[in-house]
Order: sequence, then C-alpha cells, then structure tokens
Amino acid sequence: MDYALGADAAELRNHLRDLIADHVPPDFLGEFTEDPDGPAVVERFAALLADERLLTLNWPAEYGGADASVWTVAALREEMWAHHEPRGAHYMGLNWVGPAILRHGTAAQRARYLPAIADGSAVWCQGFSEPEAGSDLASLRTRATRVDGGWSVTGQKVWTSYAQLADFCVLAVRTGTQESRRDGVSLFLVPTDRPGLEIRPLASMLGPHHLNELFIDGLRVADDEVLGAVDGGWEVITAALAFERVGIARYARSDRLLSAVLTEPELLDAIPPGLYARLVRSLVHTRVARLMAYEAIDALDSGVVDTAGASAARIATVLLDQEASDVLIEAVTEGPLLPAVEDFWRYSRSSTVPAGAVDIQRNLVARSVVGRAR
Amino acid sequence: MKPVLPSEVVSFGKAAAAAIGAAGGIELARRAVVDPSVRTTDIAPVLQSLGIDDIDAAADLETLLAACELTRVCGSFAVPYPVGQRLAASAAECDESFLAVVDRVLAVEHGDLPGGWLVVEPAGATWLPIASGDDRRYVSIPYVHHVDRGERRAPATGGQVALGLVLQSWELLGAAQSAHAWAASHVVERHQFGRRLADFQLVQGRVADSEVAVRGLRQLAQFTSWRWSTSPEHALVDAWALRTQAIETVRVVLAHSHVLHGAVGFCDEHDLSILDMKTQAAVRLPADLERSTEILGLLIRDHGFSSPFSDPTCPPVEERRRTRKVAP
Repeated sequence: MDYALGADAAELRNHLRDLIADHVPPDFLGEFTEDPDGPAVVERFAALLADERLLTLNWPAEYGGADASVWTVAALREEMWAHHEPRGAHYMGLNWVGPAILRHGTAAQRARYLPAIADGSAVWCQGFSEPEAGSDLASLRTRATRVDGGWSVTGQKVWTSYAQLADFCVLAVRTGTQESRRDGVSLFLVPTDRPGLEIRPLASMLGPHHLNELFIDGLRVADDEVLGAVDGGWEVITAALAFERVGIARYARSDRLLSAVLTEPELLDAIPPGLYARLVRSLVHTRVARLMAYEAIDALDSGVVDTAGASAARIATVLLDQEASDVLIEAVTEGPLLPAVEDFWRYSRSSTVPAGAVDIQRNLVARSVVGRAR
Repeated sequence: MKPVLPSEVVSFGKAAAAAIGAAGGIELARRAVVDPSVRTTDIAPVLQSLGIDDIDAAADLETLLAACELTRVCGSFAVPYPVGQRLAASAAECDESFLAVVDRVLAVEHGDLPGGWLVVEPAGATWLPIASGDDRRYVSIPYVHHVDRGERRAPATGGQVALGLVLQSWELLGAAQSAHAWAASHVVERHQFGRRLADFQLVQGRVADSEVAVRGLRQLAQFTSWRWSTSPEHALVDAWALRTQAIETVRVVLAHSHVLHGAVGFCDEHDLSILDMKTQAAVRLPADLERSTEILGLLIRDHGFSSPFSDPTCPPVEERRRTRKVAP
C-alpha cells in the first residue's frame, strides 16, 4: 500500500505551476467568463502544453502522447482544474474523445482527427443530452436515416458545453428504432460548421460558452464518420461517462482555495468559530474525495470493474464542490482570493448535474451494493 | 501509488473475522452485557490466538495495517474488548497493557479490565488512572469507567496519541461497515407494499449515501495509517482528521441503517441495536465530533493541513508570480 504519486508527478506539478505562473494571467478564471481574453489565453496555453506533449500526456507516443502513468496524469488534472482549467474546452477531446477514437476508431479516423486534438488546434464537444433525454440518455430521439453514402440527421441537442467554441462534435443519434433504446444508438463525428447544424447559446448563471442548443436539420454524415459500429454507440458512451466521472479532478479546486485561506492569517482570524469548524470539515472532506478518486483511478488502471467506486468518487467530489464553495463564499468576503471563490461558488451550483446527475450516481451505487448483498 | 491493503493484511483480517465469528461473533457482546467476565474468559483468549500480544504496530507499515485490520474486524463484531488500546500500548512499549486517549471527560472504556492502563491526553500529558469516586455514567453505554489523574508518567509523543486515535477510527470503520452491510441485506430481503425495500428509490439513496461514506472512511483510514508510518510529523493532525470523519461516518451510516431496518433494529435481539450501543463509547470518547473538530482546527492553525496544494516543496502559483516580479 502506497499513497505517494511519485517523483514524476511531483516534478510535473512543479513545472506546471511554473508554466501557469508565467503564461496564465492572475485574473484568469477559465474559459466560461465574460473576460474577452479568456479564449486567447486558453489557445496559447494549450499550444504551449502541446509543444511539450503535456496536452496528450496519457496518450500513446505514437499519437503524440507521452505514455505517462495514470498518477502523473492525475497530478496534471489536479493542477489544471485547480487553476481554472487553462486548457479550456480542450479537455473534452483529450480526456475522452481522443481516447475513444483511439480505441474504437478506424485507422483513417485516427489519422484524420487525433493530430489536431494532440496539437491543441481542434476543440470537441459532445452532443448527448436532448430536451426529452437528459438523465435517461437511452431515450434520445435525434434520428439518423440512411441516405446514399451515409446518413441524414434531424433532431435537437441541448446543454451542449462549449459547442460555440468547438470545431467538432461527437453526436449521439438514434439509428435503430425508438424502442431499441441503448441498442440503437450510434456516434457520429461531425464538424460543427457543416450545413444542417445550427448552434445557439443559452444564457446561464454558469457563464458564456457553457450551455448551448444544437438544432439539426438534414445534417449529412458520411459512413466513414461513424465512430465504432452502427447501433454500437452505447458501449462507447458508457466508457466515456465512466472516464468523465473521474477524468476531472474537481476536488482540486476546493483543495487549492481552502489551502490558500489557511495561509492568510488575517483572513483566518476574521472567520467566526462555527464557520472555521465547517472549513476544517471541508478540508477533511477534500482529502477524502481525493482519495476516493485515486481508488477509482487505480481500479480503472488495474482493469477492475468498479462502477460503484467511480460513482461513489463522483458523488463525494460533486457534493464537496458545493459544501466547500458555500464555506468559502462566507469565509472570503474581500481580497485577492474573492474572484476565484465567487467563480468557484457559481460553477459549483451545477456540479451535481453533468456526467450523470448525482441521483443517477446514487442509483448506480445502490444497484451495485444491493447486487452484492443479494 | 497503490491505495489498497496488502493481500497479507486482507487475509489476516479474514482469519480474524473467522476466529471471532467462531467464538460467537456479536453474541459475545450480547453475553458480556450480562456477564462482563466474558471479556477475559472468552474474548481475550481468541485475540491472543490471533497474536494480539505479538503485534507491534510501530514496527513497520504492514504490521501497523495488521493491527488496524484486527481492530476493524473487532469493531465490525462490536467485540467488547479494548483491542485498539491494547495495540496502542504495545506500540508505546510501556509496562501497562492498555493505552487510552482521554480529553475533557476523564473516562475510559473497559477501564475496569486488569493489566494496567496508561492514559494520555491530546497534548501528551500521561498518567496512570485511579478509580474515580464519580459514578456518573453515560446513560446506557456499557463499560465506560470514570477515572481520576494518578501518578504522572513521561509525556506521550504525538505519534503515540495519534496511534490511539487511528486504531479507534478503524474500530468505527468496522462498525460502519457492518451497519451498512446489514442494511443492504435487509432491504433485499424485506418486502413492503408488494416490493422489495431495495426497489424504492429513497431507500436506494440511503444505501448509496452509506456506501459513499464507508468507502470514504476506509480510504482515509488507510491513508492516515500509511502517513503514520511514512510522515510521523503529521501524525497528530492526520489522526484527528480521521477521527472527525470516522464519527461523522458512523453516525450517518447507523442512522440510515436504523431507518431501513425499522423498529426491529432497536431491539436487542437484533445485532444492530447491540452494535450501535457498543460503538457509542468510541463515538463520544475521547472527544465528540465538535470537540474533535475544535482540536483539529487548532492543530491546523499551528501545523497546516497536508495536501498537494499546501506542499512546501511545491509553492503555489501566486508565490511563484510574486518571486518573478522581484527577480531582476
């Protein structure tokens, strides 16, 4: 038993903090803010990481990666999320779209799509949720019908993060009958500027660029743009969601901000005892969430199927987001930390919804526990 | 990084569970309420057969984990014996058989057992207890004995205090795991309104929340034990952090388990009732959740709280920016 992330992870962490200190402005709060410079900061920083193969740290060297251990990658994810994700929308392509194309794509698809993800020049979004298919994704209705040489797609997607910024979209569509549920879903790889696909932003408390609607009308998709087998998309989606649940080190933002408060004696002195007790509990919960994430990562890396573990880690970290941000928004009422705390609080309101709402995660955990008890 | 117990420790835990189960399991706790001598006539020999007297928890990480696992297994059976206190005394290399941590309430669970007790306070003050004339008891909590400060001894180290707290937290982990496992079995077997309880979504929510809490505590207990071995300078802060999480977890899980069991869970014929009452001493002593959080908060003010974002060898981004500004 060992809880050390290792020398490589420590070295990378130090290097990343240097890069952030040198290349990310102190007032950067992520890509989903009103800051007009945000996207440019992300573009520059992603290119910087790409030059050092840090953008695709977890990818095979053959495709521009560094074959790094999962623990070095964990350190990278912690540093990125803690510092407001200066890779911006790129993480979607890096975390799961790229690896999914690696695993399920054809040789031609790997050659066509992966280099642009690896060098930071292409942003991907995922068109999964629909107005009538949120948590119950298997009921999605966006319909693909056979046409000469491919498919014609019509339907609507919603809550599509970063769609305005994205160059490509992984579109989940119905290729089987409506009753086929998860057995009739396929994944299409589509450029976002193709006729038949219209993107409209949704104003939200989460900031610009975050939520969008996709209106799809007669969108043409070629046969060689299908990822995996026709009607076989559900398996890819399930793996992607499992990855997404532990692919973002959400606890790291709580960790950085709570740790920062501890280094400010004047701030600490001003915190009333009851609130300080909550802050102390949040520090412990942050440690717990981090350890649960490590356990889930270790299981994935060891090839152990532990759905309950990944979902339990997700539950712990999203609840932590809301607990810690509530503590921080009361504890930090002025000073240089305030903008980051305010942004964290705002963004944490949504933490219990994406990648499977927290109650869906609870269902998954309960199903596993009950199955074990049977 | 390998956040899992070594297989040898897991095997030892299984052997311990089998031995304690064969000796009566939780029935031992039920019997000891009527006849406290069961602790020395029946329980101590089983623990000795498992080698409790030969385990030096301070020897190395694997032995520490074996000690923790034995304590956890005993907690899962509500074994009415100061297992963690026995193991803490062995590690402290003292003449006494048991080492207990006390805080504001001078009370020791199983303080009446022979073999000698050493009592340590959070800041290290150490003394031999003398029986108190005070006959106040925590209502309904068995085995808790009030004591007074007797002869002073050399102060305990932070590591010794921490080990007592860590082992006790493993006991609470075992209790939480049992309460959770029993609830999970119950909701599968019990039918109401023509369906299994497990088919109701609110029931699933309670089962899931317990699972998350137990998994989290297990990881924190493992991590804290590893840190006790590898970073003794942080032992005290880490141990109080673990204690707060252990109390919180066992409370949540017991509450969910009781709701899911319904009235039967409060009856002494049900193991949950026995487990709940036996566990309360470790929940309240040496310090309840509020007091434990207060102590932890004071320690954090003085020593900080370790994480990747408070590591002195990896300064925060803000400090790097400041350094760059003053650089030529």
